[in-house]
Amino acid sequence: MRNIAKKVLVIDDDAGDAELTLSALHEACVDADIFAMRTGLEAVNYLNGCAESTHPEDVLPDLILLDMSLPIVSGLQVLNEIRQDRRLRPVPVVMLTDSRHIADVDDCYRLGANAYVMKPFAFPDYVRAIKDICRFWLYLNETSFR
Amino acid sequence: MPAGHELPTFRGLLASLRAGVFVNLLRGSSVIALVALILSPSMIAANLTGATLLGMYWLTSIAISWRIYGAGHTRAAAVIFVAATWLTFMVPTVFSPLRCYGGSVVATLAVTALVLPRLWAIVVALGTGAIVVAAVSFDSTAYALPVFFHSSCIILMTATSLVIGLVFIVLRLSAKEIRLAFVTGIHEARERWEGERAQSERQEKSRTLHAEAKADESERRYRSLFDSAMDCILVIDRNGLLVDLNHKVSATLGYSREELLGTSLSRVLNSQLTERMYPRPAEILIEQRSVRGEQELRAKDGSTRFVEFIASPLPDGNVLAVVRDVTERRQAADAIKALNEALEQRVAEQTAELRQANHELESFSYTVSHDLRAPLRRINGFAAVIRSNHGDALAGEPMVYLERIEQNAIRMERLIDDLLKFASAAGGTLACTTIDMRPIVDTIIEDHASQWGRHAKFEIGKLPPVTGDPSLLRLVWCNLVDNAVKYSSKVAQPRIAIGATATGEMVEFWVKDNGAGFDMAYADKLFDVFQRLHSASEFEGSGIGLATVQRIVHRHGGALRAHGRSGEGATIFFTLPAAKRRESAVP
Repeated sequence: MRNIAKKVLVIDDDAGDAELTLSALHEACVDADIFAMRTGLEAVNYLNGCAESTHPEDVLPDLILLDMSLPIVSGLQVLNEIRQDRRLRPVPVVMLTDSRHIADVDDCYRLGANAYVMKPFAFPDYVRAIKDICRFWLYLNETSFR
Repeated sequence: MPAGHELPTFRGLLASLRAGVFVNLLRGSSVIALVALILSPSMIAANLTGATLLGMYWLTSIAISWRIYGAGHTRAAAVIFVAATWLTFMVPTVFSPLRCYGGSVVATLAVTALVLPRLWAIVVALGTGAIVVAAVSFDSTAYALPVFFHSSCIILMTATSLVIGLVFIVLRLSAKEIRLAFVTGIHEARERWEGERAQSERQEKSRTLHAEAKADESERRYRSLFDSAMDCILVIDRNGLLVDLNHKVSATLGYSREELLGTSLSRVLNSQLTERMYPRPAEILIEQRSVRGEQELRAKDGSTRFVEFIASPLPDGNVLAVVRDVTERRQAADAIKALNEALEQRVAEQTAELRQANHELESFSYTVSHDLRAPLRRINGFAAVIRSNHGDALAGEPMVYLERIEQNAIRMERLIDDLLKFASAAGGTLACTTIDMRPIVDTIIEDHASQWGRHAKFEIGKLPPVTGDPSLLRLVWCNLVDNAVKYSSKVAQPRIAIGATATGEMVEFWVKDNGAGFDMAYADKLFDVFQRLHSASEFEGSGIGLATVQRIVHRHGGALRAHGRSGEGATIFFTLPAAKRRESAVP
């Protein structure tokens, strides 16, 4: 196992939400490099670039925290892109969203999301949720190609 | 003799003779005599002249004797008459026997006709004619016949005249009787003849009149019926030509009677329908049966008339068609049909609109849940971050304000939650099943125990199963129990009673508390959205809970009411359809 820092990609169009997520990641003391993308298109381009590099496993994120309501290319479309690309498929994707709509939950799991987490209202709950997510998907559930 | 019976004058006699049968007899005899004269061509002129002169002589002598007779000298009249006749007959024989024939024939016939009954007169006339013919034919072949033949003829004729004259004198002794017989004979004959003729004419005329009257009346009656009929009546011949039609046809189709008579029926048939639709008159006549059907006719103005008809063969070889205009009925039926279709269309459209509206409402509530909640969460999140990172620097008043921000954000979040529940209670379809209420109530009390803090005392009675949507009914119980706990929280010993009464097909549940209660004057405001009877500082709440309960209960076909008094607690009653027996829930 190579000693490379874990990478978490946060995709959220709202600056405030992205900042809160970063704060939560910080509060949760997650030991990882954090990347933030504002649009789905940007994220898809970035991920394709990673996949085409000589060592994709070195540059691909270890966890993607994906918001659903993104402009132009929606969170669901980003998720679909990731799951359709054989090289990106192993990357865990956790949906982090405000939607409590049951149809959205269904859609996300149908397209291959690893988890669907509704953003908790109270900030301490939010920090706790981020902590749990990272602990499981970054450490307990290491993917095979690592 | 009747008093008023005047003796006829000579002119009157002639008139009588002219008018009666005797005239005809005389004519017939004259024709025979004429034929006899014609048969002797060499003597025509002489004979004609002689006959005329003799005739005039004889008629004059008759007139004279008639006058004498009329004056009462019967015998003298008879003598004169016979003598004149004898002379008439005798004188010509000196010159020509034929003249004798002519005169004797005329005399004989005249006397015979006047005196004898008709039959005898005919016999005498024919006999006289035969003798004359025989004599003439003899005479023409051998002009120089022995005198004795002429003499015998003359004697015969004279004897005849004498006999006839003696009839007057000997047989009819009384002049009055002769006159009476004479007059009566003529009158009777004339009257009988005229009577018979008049009667037969009258009878014929009356028969004709009667028949005509009957025929006229029948025709009038038929025409009246025909023309006043409410239906169109057409008489069509074998080839489909219109023979007769009534007023109604003109009124219906706009053509005048003259325009249609003699034209083909196809003129008024709707050209879009071929004639195969129409039973041909010839077929009806051959099959000798009535045909019923429907048809479209074309009026003069181009409009279409829908008709029902019955066509029957007539004895005269035509077809009678009785046609009823059902256009109005058809149009009314069509209008109703169109109206129904329009209504269905409208219902479909409105259903679609409603569905669309529901869909939009759902997406609206989705947007609300996401777009309103997210900024609120961020406000709350950043407030927490400030408190966490800069808590030390914000001691005192700033910290109090920060807490206010957080509290309001949380309150707003609950409000949004309740609104979303209310929206979900309104839309969507009910997933009804049989529900046992007790486990639901128990679970809610257990789940909320920690949240409520201090335990109220619950008294739960028997709760019969109902038919309903489990998730919505859970929301009902949640709201009601939560309310009861909330409003009784400031009482020393809060007690909450839950129970039910089965009333036929419905079950009435109630939730009773001994809390703050409410003024019954405002009971009707209790179930309105955002209506609160207590201040937020007194009891927290969004004012949506009971509105949500009401909407769910109404959607199940139930009813909701509240009973309470200020400071003495409140009871909320609601009804739901009872579970059907065979579907009763397993406890």
